[in-house]
Amino acid sequence: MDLPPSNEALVQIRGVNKWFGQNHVLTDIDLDINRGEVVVVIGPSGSGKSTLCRCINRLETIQSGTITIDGVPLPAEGKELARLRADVGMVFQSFNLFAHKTILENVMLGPMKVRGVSKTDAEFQARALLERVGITAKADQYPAELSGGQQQRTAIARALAMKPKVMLFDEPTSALDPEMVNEVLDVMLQLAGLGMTMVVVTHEMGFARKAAQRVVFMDGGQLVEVAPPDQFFENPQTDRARGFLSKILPH
Amino acid sequence: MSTSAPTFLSYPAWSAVDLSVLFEDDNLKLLVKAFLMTLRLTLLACAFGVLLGLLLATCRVSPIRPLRIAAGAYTNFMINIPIAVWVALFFFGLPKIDLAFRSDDLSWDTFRSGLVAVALWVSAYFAEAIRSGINSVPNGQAEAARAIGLPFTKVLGSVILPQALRTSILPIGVVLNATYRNAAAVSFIGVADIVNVTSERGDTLAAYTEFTIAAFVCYFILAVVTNGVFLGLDRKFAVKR
Amino acid sequence: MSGAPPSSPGIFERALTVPRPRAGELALTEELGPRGRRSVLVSAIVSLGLVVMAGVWIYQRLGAPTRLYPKGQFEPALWEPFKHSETWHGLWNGLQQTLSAAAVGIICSLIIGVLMAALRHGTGRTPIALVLAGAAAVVLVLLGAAWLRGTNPIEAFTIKWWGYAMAGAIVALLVGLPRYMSTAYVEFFRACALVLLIASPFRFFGVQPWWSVVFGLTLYYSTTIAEVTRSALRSLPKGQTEAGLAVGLTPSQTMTMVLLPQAIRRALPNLLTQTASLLKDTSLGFIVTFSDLLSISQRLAKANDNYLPSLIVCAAIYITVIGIINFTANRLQRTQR
Repeated sequence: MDLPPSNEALVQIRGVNKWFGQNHVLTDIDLDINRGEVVVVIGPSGSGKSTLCRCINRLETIQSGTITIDGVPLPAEGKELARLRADVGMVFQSFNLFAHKTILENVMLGPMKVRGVSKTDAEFQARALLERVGITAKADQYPAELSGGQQQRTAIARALAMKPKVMLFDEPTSALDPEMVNEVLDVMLQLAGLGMTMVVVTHEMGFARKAAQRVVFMDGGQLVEVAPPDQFFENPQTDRARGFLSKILPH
Repeated sequence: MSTSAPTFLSYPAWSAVDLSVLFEDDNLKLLVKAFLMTLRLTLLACAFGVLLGLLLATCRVSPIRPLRIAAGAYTNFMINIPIAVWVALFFFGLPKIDLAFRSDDLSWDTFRSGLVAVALWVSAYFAEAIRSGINSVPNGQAEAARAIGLPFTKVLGSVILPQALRTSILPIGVVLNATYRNAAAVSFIGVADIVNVTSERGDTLAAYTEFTIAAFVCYFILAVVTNGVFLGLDRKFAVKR
Repeated sequence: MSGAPPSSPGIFERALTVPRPRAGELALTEELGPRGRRSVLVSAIVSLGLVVMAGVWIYQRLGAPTRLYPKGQFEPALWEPFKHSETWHGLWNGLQQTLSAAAVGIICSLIIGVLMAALRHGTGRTPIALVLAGAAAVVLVLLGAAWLRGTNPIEAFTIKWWGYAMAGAIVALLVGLPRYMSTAYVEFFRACALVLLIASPFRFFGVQPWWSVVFGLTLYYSTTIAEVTRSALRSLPKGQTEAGLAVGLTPSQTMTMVLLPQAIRRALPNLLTQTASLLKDTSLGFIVTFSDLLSISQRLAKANDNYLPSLIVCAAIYITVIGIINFTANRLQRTQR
């Protein structure tokens, strides 16, 4: 990025708590995500990892604590919030491509409506991005006509079109058929290689090993362990992490 | 035709049905005028009804509870009371409380009352159609729109409403089609629509059967054209999921 | 930190606003920040004021003295008739006509509608379907004969025409017409104006008003019920048919014992909505001088010179009866989800 390098973490999460009704889903979360870092969040279902990811661009609200992105505290609402979200790309489990727009229009919508980019520029950029994720041929089709893997790659292109400072991936491969997982992971690996800051909630341990600088293990709404992948997978420090790994890793 | 009340066995034979009566004198002209009257009444009522329905639907999905309750009560009132009752209330009832005074032109009075009654009535149905269209848009669409930084108005205007309205095309066509037929209730107060004119002519010329068949044809044309238009629109614009 | 979340909205705010969407509703607005919550609260207060003002205006309008009624519509004399049992007796008679026509109408519509849906959905070559198609072909041929010979269909029942009718029935059986016949029936009557279907038996054949209303309602609502049932049939998983056939049921048995029971249960809320709609449409009986609730109310209004009170009572009766049906439909829909 063309920003001046700084020692400050890009995303700072401090003392975050969240409740759904009486259910305490995030407990005292502290986490820093540095520029250019890839952080993979893993944990059993219901551990709050998706919620944490969604809190970073305030798709979920928090009841206490602070989240700061690039030195700016997360605004509560309005134009400021929208502006901040434009800088945070998000990829959803269920793709959520705009069903009434073509693939190309999906990628063009954000730059045109939020950044005020002209139509020709937006289209030029969108075609370049679609080429990067490998779906040029489908540009004029509607999302429903594409496979899950193609839709998810489009969703990544749509997020990249906003030139985000950080990308959030909320279980990007969980809704995909097995044979389509790799095409999406390849795009994500390529992105990590280019130095994008990424927060990835996933069950793909292979991706965590290959791409992550740090692995965050969550359980019961708490950060249980934060460690580099080699250390986490070979030598987990906590019982909960050991228990989790023993359940998911191949025998 | 016999003068005594017809029974099943003495009804006129089919071959006695002579449609040429429809083309005698100015009958055809009257029929065309009646057809246009039904068309005009329905289209005007629907134009107004869609706008009011959009407003009502917005109220019903808004986070403001008084608006939700008021719009819900209005919708239920309109839908649960037959259109004929509304037409009667508006035409005969309102002048009793010094609203909707009679002018010198009775046909204008009846048309005005009928139009307002049908429009207010149909707005409730449009509101329901549009509301279910809005609720058929998955939440993820709104979330994705917010996540790329669209402000509230653009989330609504660029993503949710376009999808909701495209999903509502067929239901709106169904409501429009129902309006043609239910608007026949205005013949109750004497608006010269298809039902009114064919009844009156059929009675005067002792040609009930012929004029009723003509009325069937008129409504058939309206139904077929409307169906065609809305199916075409739906095929063109429907959101594929 | 533990315990309940801090800063939950006050009772006032909770009463006036809907912070989170209900289940099955789209979250049009996301969870609001303090500024958004304040502006929603302010709009809620303003709109509450407007709604109350509208209510007060209607109330005053009704009570205000007018040229025809110097004491307004709440004058006791105007409501006096509702203290007498004859008035209620008359209204009850009207309601009975309305309800009985609706009840018979909905039963006939259900029978024909479900049959049509089953015919249209099925393969169209089951014995029941073929017999029905044959019967329909006989009737159509005889009607055609009546048209050609210039008599009524009863007189057209000659040996020669019976021969033609039988030939038609055999052709129908061979071609397997039931599916097309039910499609034609549904598509034709669905496009007809209900008020004319009600008027036709009365005008063409001199049928009594009550029967005329029942006949018209049945023709029209059997088609809407056929559509509702058919879409429910189509929403069933395909495996249901296959499983039925696989355990050795015939196609007809699969339809009546496996598919229809499930489809009707699914369609029940919609069927109830159709019932409510049919009940409302009995008021279109004015076209055949049907003495239903509405026309009795009008008569009473004329006799007592209390138009608005009478029609308000009439509307209240309608809204109660139809409200009950719709309420049941909504409850069913919610429990089914």
